[in-house]
Amino acid sequence: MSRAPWLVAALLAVGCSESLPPASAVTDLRAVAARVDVEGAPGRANPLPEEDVEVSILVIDRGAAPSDDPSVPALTPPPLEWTFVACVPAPTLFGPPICQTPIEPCEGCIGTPPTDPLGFPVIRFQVPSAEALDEAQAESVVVQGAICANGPPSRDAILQFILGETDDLDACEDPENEGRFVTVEIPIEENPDDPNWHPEIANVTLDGAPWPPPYDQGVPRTAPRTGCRADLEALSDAERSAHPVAGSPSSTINLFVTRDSLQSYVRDDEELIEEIQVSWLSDAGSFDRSFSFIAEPARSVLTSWDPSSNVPEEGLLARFTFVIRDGRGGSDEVQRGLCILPAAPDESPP
Amino acid sequence: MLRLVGAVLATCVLASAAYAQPEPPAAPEGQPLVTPPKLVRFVEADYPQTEGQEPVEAVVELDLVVGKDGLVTEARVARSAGEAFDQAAVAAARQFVFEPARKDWEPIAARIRYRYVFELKTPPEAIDTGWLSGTVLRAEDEGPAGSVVIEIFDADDELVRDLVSGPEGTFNATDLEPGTYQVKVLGGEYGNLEAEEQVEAGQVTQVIYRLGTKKRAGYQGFGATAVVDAPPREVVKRTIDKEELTRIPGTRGDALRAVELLPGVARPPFGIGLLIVRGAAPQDSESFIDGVPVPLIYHFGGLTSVYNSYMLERIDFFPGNFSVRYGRRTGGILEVTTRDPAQDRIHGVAEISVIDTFITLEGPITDKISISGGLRRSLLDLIVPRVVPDDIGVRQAPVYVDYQFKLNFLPSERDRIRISAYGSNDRLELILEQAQGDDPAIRGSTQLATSFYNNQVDWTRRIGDKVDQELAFNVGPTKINFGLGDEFSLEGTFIQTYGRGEWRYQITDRVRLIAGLDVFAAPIDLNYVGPQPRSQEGAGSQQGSLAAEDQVIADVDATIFRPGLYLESGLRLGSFTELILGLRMDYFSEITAYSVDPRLTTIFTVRPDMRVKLGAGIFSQPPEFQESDDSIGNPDLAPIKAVHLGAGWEYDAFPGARFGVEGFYKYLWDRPVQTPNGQAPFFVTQGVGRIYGAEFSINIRPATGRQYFGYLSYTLSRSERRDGPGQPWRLFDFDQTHILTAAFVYNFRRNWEIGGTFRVVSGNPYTPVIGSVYDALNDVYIPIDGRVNTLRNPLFHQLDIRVQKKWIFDGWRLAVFLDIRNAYNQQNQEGIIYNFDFSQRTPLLGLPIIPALGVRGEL
Repeated sequence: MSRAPWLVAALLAVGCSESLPPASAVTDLRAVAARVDVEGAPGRANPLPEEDVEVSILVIDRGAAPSDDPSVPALTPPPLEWTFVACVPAPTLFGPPICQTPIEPCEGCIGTPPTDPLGFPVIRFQVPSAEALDEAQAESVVVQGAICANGPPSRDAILQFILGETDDLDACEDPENEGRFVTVEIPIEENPDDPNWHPEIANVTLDGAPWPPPYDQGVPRTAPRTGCRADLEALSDAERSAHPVAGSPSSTINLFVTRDSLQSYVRDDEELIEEIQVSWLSDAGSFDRSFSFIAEPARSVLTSWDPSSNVPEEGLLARFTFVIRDGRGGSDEVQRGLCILPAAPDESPP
Repeated sequence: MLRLVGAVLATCVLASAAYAQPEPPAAPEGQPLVTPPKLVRFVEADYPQTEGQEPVEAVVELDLVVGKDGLVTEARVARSAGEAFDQAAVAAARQFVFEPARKDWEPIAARIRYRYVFELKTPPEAIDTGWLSGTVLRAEDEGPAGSVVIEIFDADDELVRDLVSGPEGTFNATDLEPGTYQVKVLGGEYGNLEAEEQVEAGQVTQVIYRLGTKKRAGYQGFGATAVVDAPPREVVKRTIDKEELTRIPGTRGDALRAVELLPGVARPPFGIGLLIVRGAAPQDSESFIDGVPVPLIYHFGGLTSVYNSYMLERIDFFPGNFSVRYGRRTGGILEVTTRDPAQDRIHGVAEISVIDTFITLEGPITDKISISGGLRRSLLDLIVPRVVPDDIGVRQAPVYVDYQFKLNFLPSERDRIRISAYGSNDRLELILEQAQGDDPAIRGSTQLATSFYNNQVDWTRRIGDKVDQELAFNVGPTKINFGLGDEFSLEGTFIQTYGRGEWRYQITDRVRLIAGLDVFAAPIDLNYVGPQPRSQEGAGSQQGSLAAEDQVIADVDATIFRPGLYLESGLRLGSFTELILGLRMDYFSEITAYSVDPRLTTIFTVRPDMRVKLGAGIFSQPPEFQESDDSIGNPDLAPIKAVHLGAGWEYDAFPGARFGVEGFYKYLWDRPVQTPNGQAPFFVTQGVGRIYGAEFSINIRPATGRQYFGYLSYTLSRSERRDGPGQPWRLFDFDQTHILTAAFVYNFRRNWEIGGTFRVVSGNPYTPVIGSVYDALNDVYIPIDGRVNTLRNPLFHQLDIRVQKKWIFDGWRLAVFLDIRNAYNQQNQEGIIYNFDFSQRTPLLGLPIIPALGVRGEL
């Protein structure tokens, strides 16, 4: 606690140092959310002991340029491989969770599934009994592991980071491959009579209007990073003009949640209302912040986004991912896209 | 006929803490920094006429205050031989001339005990000539004018003496015929001065000439009389004197910032004012003001200390092996002594700079009571909002205020009572409506507010001839309020109550005894919400988001009670050796534990200009409150223990240069370290540490005067910790292998002063982050630390410059100064900043060039 002045001084001194890419900028492979679904209880975020759960981990990446090889008809995103373990964690007050007792069987803990080479990790297992959790002094279960692109995760990477006895930690067997360590803590439901439900994104608007097509319901994973201008040809002038021009002024993005998303709950005999944390993510342009919060009585929050200033003639596809969390294990996400068009030759950006 | 003979039998006596010294006139053993006044001009007293009585021998003991110019400014009877003898002795003593006392070659005022003996002697021959004796000073600062020409002309305008004053400005014209003389002082740039003086047969005419102003008959000095220090009880004691306190570059005139430049003191990151002494953690060292511990010694960010430097007498710094007078710490001790208010007239200082502004005033109320007061306020809140971006949401820029008040009361010649009140208040607040950067936990109100208000009374009394008593009592609240977003909150108040009683008994000329009792008590009311506190030191990168850590809650309502007893004896063995044995016993209520700490210091005076010192001792310290509180810590911890071994060598190579070398070794045990994963009992006493090194220092200043001064110091050390059995040794968080400091200040003509401080210091170690784990629940990345403190920041180097120009007016002075910190804008690395997922990093840079322009007026 005596480090407090040092921490504040460092916080203020950060302004003297070089800036780094923000969390909202998607520049490489990222896990950005994990949704937990309880079998037989749609919409419930937290399982009870002995219930079956399914954990879906959303992985995103910056879109790649189209292939120069005419024999490759469309972009193929790198296939993912992963290794996870579901477990009861050991008691710990800081650092990453540490597995104490593995939970078996665990379906999907090791991937890629052969049926979908582009699939994301989806893991299913049964939560241990209340007695087993009590014995381990656990209030949650944990899914922990590594995800890699184009190759398998490192076999002993998890062990290495737990022991902290290495100066070079790689998630993947091949250090050249992109990879991420991921931990998903799944709180056990404390109040079966009033359980925690996932919050829900109701709508996302761009500059106060409905999100324009053709990416108003998301962006195909195989869509190339450039060349989106062609996708706008079938749109009306009004729809096309909703897509930004390079270097144009900021766009406002407004995210709405459903009325029931902010649940009330009781903790330590105190009645509280959830606060929704919004994570703004994009692989092009820049947000003015990486995180926002929706607190009672609001049901929406807005942010501003600046399009990239340099884009190719054929247009640059910006992929957006918006994730909301209730801080207790509930989450939701949506994806959107915009095509950033180059400025007209005689038009100089403001 | 009687002949009167005086002899100095006792030398320096401290007003507040004295040991009578047995043998004149040599400097006492074990008192390396101070030389006593030396009588150079004795004046015989008239033997009192006692009708009808046979002449007798008599002894009058006098307390004399000898000024920096060697003249007697105060003479009081300490032991009477009858009113007639007393008056005669005082009258004679007022005409004495001394070579002044010196402290590190710098003339200082001193109080001495003088024994005037009226002895029966054969009548002398009649004296038919007189003396003219005097001192030439600069009016601007009362410093000696140095070598100036003094021409003495008789009534016929004939040159009878042509003298050059000594380095101290003193001169003596002996065997002058009685009569009137014209004296011409040729002071060069300070101008000339002429005066008419009368010389009587058998008498000494004393004069003081101040070049640039009219001759003044009596001594006038700004500030209180400095007293000669007691012999040090430590192997190493470093002192910064009043004359240099405010002149060291890079400190903006702040004396306590100068402590960072002393050998053995490490540089804190950003210069934020942590005291890191000989490889010890900041919380292992303690700062005292007038013998009372203070919770804070620096304002926010270490910009300024909490006590105005113009109200300080001196700063003593004990980097290790300190006396049993100090307890409950295993590192070092910083003792700040405040200055008594001026007793001659009203004085004051007012200053304004871009950082802060202050005013001080002091003066006499009666001949026994004098008071002083000071007030300072920062000006940063006028500047920061103009340089910090609006979207950060600064609601309250850093603001600090401090105040000082002191009343000095001398009810009798044996007593001194001081009543003082001082305090400090710091506030900083940022309002972050939305999360900033990449940490969703950093939002809401980020605030830091600290304050303390100390109220103190101390009473010093001389009981008889051999016992001194010192009593001090202090009480005052300390408050802290620190919030970081929604995830961290620390709010607490404790009422520090501190009392000390110390008695010093000079049993014989060779044996002295000191006994003392000090009690620290503090009711604590504290609320904490945040992550489980980790070890104070060696806790790794600590880079992760608070959002990913479990919150703990501590609601502390307890009273800490720490009484301590100490006993120390000083023993002279022969003429070369002094042995100081000490024993300290402490009780710590929060952990229900005792400690017994024996300590030993030996001082060998190999030659008058060379000393060798050895020391060894055990030191104990209670754990920090968060380590011992039963809700977030372990109340069954033991006191932290340390053994200090030290050896020092000092050599006064020639007037104006002192060399010193000190070696030290420390071993620590029973250090609290966090349990794996932070589980109960949260902390265990399994940590050990070892620290070793050497310090080399050279102090230079002219043998007389204050034209320049400088320090050169180099510390080579290594500080390591081990956090449990079987764990590897690792570097201490602030281990700095090399610390090189050079400071030099020079006074040029026309009152220009220019100085510079240059430092080269090893970078602090840090723990690399080797990877991260994505925490899907909170959308943050949890850093994975590599081995603790295995990397180090690059070498730090910085030059600070201070330029000052002073103008002297009638009765007041004006100074304009420019203090430039980091003059060549070196971008020193203080740490590492990582991006949100710890895959990219960039240096966290220290403070850029900071020029501070200020104006100061002195009354």
